[in-house]
Amino acid sequence: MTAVIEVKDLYKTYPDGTEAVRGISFEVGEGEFFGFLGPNGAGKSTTIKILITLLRATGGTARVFGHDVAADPNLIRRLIGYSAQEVGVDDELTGRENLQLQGRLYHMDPPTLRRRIDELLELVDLAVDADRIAGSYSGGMRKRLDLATGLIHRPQLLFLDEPTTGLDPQNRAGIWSYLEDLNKRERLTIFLTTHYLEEADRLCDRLAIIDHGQIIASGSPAGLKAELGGGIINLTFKGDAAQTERDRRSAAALLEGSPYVRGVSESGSTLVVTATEGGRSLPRIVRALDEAGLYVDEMTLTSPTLDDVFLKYTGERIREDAPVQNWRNQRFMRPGMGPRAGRRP
Amino acid sequence: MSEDTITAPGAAMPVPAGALPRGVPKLASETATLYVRQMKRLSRQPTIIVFSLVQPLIWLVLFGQMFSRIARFPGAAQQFGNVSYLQFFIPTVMLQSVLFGAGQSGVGMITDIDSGFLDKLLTTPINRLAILLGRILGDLTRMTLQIVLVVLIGWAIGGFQTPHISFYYGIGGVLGALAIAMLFALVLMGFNVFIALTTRSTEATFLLGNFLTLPLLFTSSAQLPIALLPHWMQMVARVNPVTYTINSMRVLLNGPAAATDHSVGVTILLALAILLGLATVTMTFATRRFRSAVA
Repeated sequence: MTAVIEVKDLYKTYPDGTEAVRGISFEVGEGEFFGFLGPNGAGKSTTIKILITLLRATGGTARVFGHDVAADPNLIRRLIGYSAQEVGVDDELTGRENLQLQGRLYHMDPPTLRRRIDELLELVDLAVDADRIAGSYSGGMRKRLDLATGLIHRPQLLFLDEPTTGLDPQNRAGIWSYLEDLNKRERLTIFLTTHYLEEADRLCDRLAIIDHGQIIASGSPAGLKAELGGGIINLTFKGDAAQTERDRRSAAALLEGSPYVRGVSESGSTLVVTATEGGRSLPRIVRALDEAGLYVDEMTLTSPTLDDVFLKYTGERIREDAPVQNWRNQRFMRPGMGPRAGRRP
Repeated sequence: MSEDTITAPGAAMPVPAGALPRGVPKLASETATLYVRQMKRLSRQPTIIVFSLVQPLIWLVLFGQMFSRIARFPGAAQQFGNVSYLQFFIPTVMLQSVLFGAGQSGVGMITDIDSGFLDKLLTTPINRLAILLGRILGDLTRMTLQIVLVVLIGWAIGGFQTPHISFYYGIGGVLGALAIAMLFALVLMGFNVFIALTTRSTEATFLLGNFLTLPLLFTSSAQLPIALLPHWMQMVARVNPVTYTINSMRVLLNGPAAATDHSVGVTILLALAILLGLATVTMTFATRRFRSAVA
């Protein structure tokens, strides 16, 4: 496998001392759909900004197509495309004009650019609305236009920073199918960051789970979930808060270490039990709890999700619905640029 | 492609097809592209031009009427350069458009940062300077348009009074005054872009802009000839660059009679020297801040 991205011991410490990225290493192969999954503030955006030459690392190396990103940023910029969480289109220009502007900045010759624009408008289903002002587009359309501007120069590697944040489920699914198309049909290597489990699960060939600036697990979504074994059993207990808390503790102690249980963790008032054999572990767990006199209020058996993987490694759930931090104003800050300099994106 | 061989860094890696232009032609082409963007934006938002004219027009009409008799007082007329107050006041309104118009450079910069548009530009292989140049040239064009409209409207209003407005050096003088006003705009834009990139706040940029611009106008020869100002204000006005800017514009529009302090040539050269010096300072600061911001 040819490595398109090679990152080794990457560190980024902001001037205020925030360690956004703490020793990350990974590789992305040609044609791969690779994802960074983690909660807001985990260091995903910082890593992507280093790779797309908008930020400088404070330690380690990052190579894209074999070139050090810090050494020759302009070369890297010609090879990569980027689409961010914020939609970077000019609302006063039409869809076509946005694409023209972007293409001219890559010095594409006019006939090639014209053809490429028509092709991209077709690809993202904006041909009909191409000559309308982008400000009149819906959120999903603007996002699609933004995606197209990032592809204008036929990049060989596409970076997507939280590409569907703020979109409704229908538009999100739409973007997903465009991305799958690009990856599968056009063989475009894609690096994506997301805090949506479903997105990572559906799109990525391989992903790294990142939290507090470190990669805590990596592998294919299926592989990561398989590590969790046969099933996830969620238990809640009867009674008032104190009672359920006591029962939850006792149950955790009881189940921890039993042969049919791989791990136990708590999520809110729920006890999350990772079973070795799913359905077959269930009756044993019920029996054990019953014998101990612990009264279960509700019990569900589910297949493991990436959230369970995250829970296993961090002891927390990904806060998928947490409001997105408003870091736009800080993001652009560089060392010594004022009172808010270097806040963690 | 086998699963476990990883090529050595740099081996068989793609490089972009074709070569980009280099140096000045590259910068010029990228600046032009971003300038065209500004012009398109401007053409889509004609209301911005209209609204930016409202305040200068109110000034033109209100002040123009309020002080219209002062300029005819015996003894004062000479200080006003023997022209109507409206004619005396036109350069002030030109500069006032610039004072408010220049603030939009900084604000536009922040808008691009907040919208993510700037990041998009920064991931392209363009010369970073093109972003600043495109914006400055675009904003200069916008302000030129505003000023031309202000002059035309002032001239039209002057048609209803006697004496009519007449420009001593004709169209050449008007263009000269316009050039001085644009030089002044450069000074302010440098300042505004610096403030915008430092504060990252539209509100702060607006506030600081207004906080400085009104006092600068009112402590200069903008409303009254310097000789008619109270003594302390005369001292302030003499160190206020707006005074020198306005005086030179008056000379260019209203002829030698407006040159009350110095000769025509000295008045103009003095303004040019002061404005070029200041523009160099503020633009250096703005460029430095911009470069460190996009490094």
